[in-house]
Amino acid sequence: MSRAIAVALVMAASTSSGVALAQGTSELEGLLDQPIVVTASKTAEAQSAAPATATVLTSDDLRRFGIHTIQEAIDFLSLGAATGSPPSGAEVGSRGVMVAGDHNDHVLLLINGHAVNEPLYGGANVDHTAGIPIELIDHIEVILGPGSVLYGTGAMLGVINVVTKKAHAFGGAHVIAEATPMTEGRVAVGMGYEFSLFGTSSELTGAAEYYRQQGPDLQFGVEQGRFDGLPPWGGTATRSNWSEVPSAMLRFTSGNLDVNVRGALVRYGLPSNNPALWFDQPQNRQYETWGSIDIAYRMPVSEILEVTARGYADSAERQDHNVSLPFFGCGAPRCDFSHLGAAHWAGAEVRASVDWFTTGAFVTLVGVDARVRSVAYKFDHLDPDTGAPIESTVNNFAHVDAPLGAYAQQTWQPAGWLALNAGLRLDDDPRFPAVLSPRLAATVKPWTNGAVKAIYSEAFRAPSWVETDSSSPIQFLAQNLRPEKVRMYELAVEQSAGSQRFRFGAFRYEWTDLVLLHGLTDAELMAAAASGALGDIPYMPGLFITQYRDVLAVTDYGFDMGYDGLALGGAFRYAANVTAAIARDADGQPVTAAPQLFGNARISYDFGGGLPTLALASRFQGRRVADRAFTGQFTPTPYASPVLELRATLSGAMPGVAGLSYRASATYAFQSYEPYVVGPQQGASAAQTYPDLMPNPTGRASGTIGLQYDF
Amino acid sequence: MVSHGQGGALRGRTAALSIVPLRLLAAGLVLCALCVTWLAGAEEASVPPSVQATLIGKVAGYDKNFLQRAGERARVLIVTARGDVDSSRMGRQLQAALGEIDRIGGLPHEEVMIEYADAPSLASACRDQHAAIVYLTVGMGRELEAIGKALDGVSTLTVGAVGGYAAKGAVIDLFSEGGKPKITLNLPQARKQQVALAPEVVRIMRVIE
Repeated sequence: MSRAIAVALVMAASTSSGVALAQGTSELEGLLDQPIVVTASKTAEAQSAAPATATVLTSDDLRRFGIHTIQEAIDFLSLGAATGSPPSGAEVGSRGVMVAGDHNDHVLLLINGHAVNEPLYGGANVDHTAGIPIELIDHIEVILGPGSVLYGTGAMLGVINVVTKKAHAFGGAHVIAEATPMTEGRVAVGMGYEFSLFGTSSELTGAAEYYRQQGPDLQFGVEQGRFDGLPPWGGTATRSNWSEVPSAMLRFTSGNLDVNVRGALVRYGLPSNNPALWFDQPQNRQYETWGSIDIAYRMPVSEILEVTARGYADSAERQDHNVSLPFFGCGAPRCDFSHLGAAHWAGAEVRASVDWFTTGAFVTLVGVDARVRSVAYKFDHLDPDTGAPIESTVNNFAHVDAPLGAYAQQTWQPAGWLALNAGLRLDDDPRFPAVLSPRLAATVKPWTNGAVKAIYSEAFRAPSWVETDSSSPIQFLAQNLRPEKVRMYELAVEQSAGSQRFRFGAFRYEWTDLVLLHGLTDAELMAAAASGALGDIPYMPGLFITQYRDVLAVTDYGFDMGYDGLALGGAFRYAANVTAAIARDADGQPVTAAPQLFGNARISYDFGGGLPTLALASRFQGRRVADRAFTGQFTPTPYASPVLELRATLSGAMPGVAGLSYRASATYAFQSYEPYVVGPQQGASAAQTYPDLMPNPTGRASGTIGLQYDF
Repeated sequence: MVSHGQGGALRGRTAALSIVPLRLLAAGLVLCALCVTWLAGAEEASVPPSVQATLIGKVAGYDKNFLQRAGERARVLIVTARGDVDSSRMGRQLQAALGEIDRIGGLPHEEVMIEYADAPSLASACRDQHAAIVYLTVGMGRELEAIGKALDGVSTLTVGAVGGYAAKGAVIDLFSEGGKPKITLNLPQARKQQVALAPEVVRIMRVIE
């Protein structure tokens, strides 16, 4: 058969307009809607091939659904993760476990791959105090499950990697203003430029933002002050629910060089902090400064070997001020109990990737991350008006040490339908015995467009310095804390059909040695009083004295399920995620503060032709046990009611004004309280057996309108 | 090694929290970075080779001239930059990824790796080997304008591995944005190279008019 005849036959067998057109464009649309993740294995790969369950929250969705913070992105868009809003700031939970008051030190927050969590408290901010202009975010990768295999301490619930935009996606100059009338507003400027530097393709992207919030008023329950002389606590907080966050980020890349610089000054009021203190006192506040620089250089050495070297330096300082009428430990008319903490660390990471057959099928990754860190912490009694010390500093500590981590990962794809990933990391924190964090993952593609993943992974968290070394008159020094550990087993199935994608996964977690701020029981308090450990504080039933202890073991199992897709040529988009988990401690009690059933759903339609995009998003959390339900011995068990929050957003280009776009959203929350006990009554007493809970910090209804001008 | 702080009060924030060594280290890192900047010259593909291969295989099927151009068997020329290890590694990875795909645009296929010499030679190779697709790996950025001109009139689909390649002379390029792969189409260049993608597909691409 001649070539010409063969061609004619092939062409005749297909449509005249191309083979693929017979099946429409949905499959290509589906491929273009397939997320790419980098975080799970430090290599770009399709989400379906990653050795973890991953969700990618895109910049399009952040804008389309009226998202302002990482916290909102997780709640409204992510699979398997949800947040709570305790008085100390938003914190992330996952798959039935959330550690109340942990400052997010069980989830690792990365910005362009750079770990943000500081070592003193272990935490990172995910709400407005994160200081990341939302317009600069390209996408957020949410990796569920233990991730210490590549990232070391803290990656227990998961890893969240915020990736900022490249210049091609953020080109030119931008001015942004957004406000929620009467309560909050922000202004931001940003830019992205591509240029040639010494003949090398280079680019500069960045943004600076100023955010300020005042209100809404928060309604707390009224409780009697815990100590004689203190006025009643509670009522309407009108002065202390405020925050102010100037921040800036800059990214410079030139060829293989990547430099990231970030800084944020965070100030916010504490409307419901330490329950023994003065209610709604605007001088109760917290200041934080965050700064970091990260310089990475990728060196392709040969077809087989690539080396990446990274140097980084970070600074995180934090001080809080808690103003009180006089009681123990302070003889002045008013006292400012102030904690000052600072962490500075710098380090270098070198990793080598060996692609043995230059096909990407058998790749070894090895790396070493060494750092030097200094932490300092102190507790002062200050005059709240002058800032002058009233008494000598107490409970201070300062340390310098050098933790080290080394890791290796082997990926092997023996066939197109099978991918294997095995990794192991050794972390040596000088305070604790070395910890090994393994991961084994296999992805099988047994049928068309389907994948089955089996994952086993472990993670750990070295207790923060504050947990191991801090104390105060109402907090005893911790004794012999051990690293927390978690292991996870997961089996997941993913299936796509054109532009429709479905995922179902079942998981089991086993947590051990979870560190909690334990409230001493009456028996422990009496023993402490008898031994003199209470000092000047008189013993009374229900006295709130705490101590960090690794007391908690949790077993957590459940499933999560997600569906997303698009139709009508991509104009109509929809997604829904749901997670159900049963998390119990060794006594069979549910894990506090964490929703056991939660999820989100969203739809959007782009009308096109200069008309706006209309989007509706919702999030749901089932009822949650209050954080001090069991340690506070409250009866009946206090719960925060289920959360349903709805948000409608309209966005698009402003007609008639080139470069100007708008975004307006309205939010309503069917929820009044968060599962966090506030006020002096942190434990049940004869006077009050049921606690007051933290009011919804953002109010029940709000509207936001924003404008962006692109030059 | 842990050095424990002494029990005395912290005298002052500045003294107690001194970070002079860290600042020096940070400054050193910046200097090192500046020193190596001149060494930097490579590009990096943001879409993994396996995803690129799948996209190439799919996009080709929407080209109305693909079957006529390719004949019985689609030949893919993978062009690497001379002396660029990034480029040759990416070429091999794409070759392996394409090898996992049964058909490109509905046809069986074969891949040929060639090292780039100059644009006219590449155009000759395309004609001689009836290349249905020419894949331009990383490191080809500076040659794209010349390649675009040389391939004017040559029926072939040039695919750039890096975002920005289409703007410089490839017919399409692949890049990631918002954590998802995207395709840019250089429509004038497509016409010059007799690539006729269906309007339904063009609609979901970034188009350079």
